[in-house]
Amino acid sequence: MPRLAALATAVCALELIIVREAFSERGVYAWSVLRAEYGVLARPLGVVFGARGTLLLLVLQLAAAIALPLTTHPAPAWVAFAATFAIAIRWRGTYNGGSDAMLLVVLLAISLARTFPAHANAALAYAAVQLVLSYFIAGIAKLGDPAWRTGRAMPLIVTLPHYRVPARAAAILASPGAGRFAAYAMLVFECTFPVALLHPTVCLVYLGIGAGFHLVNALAFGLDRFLWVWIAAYPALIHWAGV
Amino acid sequence: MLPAVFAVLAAAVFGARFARHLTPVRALFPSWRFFDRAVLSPRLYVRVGTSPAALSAWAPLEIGPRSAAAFLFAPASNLALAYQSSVDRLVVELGELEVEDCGSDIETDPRVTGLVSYRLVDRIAHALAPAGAVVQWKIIVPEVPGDYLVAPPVERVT
Repeated sequence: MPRLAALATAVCALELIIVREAFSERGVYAWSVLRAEYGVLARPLGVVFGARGTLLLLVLQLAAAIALPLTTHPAPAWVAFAATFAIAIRWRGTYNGGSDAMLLVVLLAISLARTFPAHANAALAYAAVQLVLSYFIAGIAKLGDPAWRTGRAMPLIVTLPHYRVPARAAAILASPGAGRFAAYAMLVFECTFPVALLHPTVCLVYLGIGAGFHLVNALAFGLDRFLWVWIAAYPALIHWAGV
Repeated sequence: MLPAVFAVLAAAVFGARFARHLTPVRALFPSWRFFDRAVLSPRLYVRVGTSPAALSAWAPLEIGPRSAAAFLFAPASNLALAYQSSVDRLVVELGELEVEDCGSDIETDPRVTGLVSYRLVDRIAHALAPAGAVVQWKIIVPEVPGDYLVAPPVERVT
């Protein structure tokens, strides 16, 4: 788990370091613009969230990620957690939505497990339950939308321009038959995911499907962070399912 | 320790219901409701020119094609998703303001132009324009007839 978490954390840090122009004072997400939302905390937070401070935070996040699998000391895990949380706060709550949240879950679980080794099982239970909830709640929430229930959701989602779905994949998923099949398959997988807790073999099957699901999402929608971060949480469920 | 885990989980589930009010720390309270409504998204359109009278036709903001390796490492794609999140959030915040009832133009209402989300979208529109160009942007929301918001044309300084 620490190795996969380290990889996910490093990818997140490096991606933002590469687009650092975006959080410079000339960039879109300049702190001088964002600070208005932080009230009395704007001044103290400015020390950390200015262009140079944010870059240092990302370097710290990257360094902690590199150190994470090299030692069992809890410090790198806590530093990675704190840096990831600070980066999320700087981007008005999250930079990349749910992937930030799951990365925090994973890093918190590792931090707690290393700080309180006698209670490592409980820390992993926290990550495992959040992982199960992430699929189950996503599936149940979709059931409330007629577009998902009737199979019209997928053809619509692939047309959203910000995902820039490759033309070939978009053409396949936009066809009524394939779109309906993909939607129903996703709903069944997500809504039944808690079953993975019942038996080690079932758990491995679900996690295999889940890894494929995230790989397809990364290929079609460019959601690379969800692939790295969710797979980093899988060892917690593998542990609790008794695999 | 196990009761503490359940307490944290309960707090996370409870907090997710009120995540809107915990915006800066909402990453700690994930809702896990991905794509729960399959709807079209608001879209940012931009036009540029040498003067307000000589602007190009409206065109959707284009970030460019994804790289072949974007499924493993996607700095530009994730920044583009952050841009879209900022546009989505501006539309949500404008909906909460109910500026239609204020009697003044939405484009000049200081409650609108003073929003951090408005300033971010303004900077997104200007980010891809050449220095010195005059830039105008607007947002179109599917299922809402006409333009949702049209910003005045402004020269890009840097």
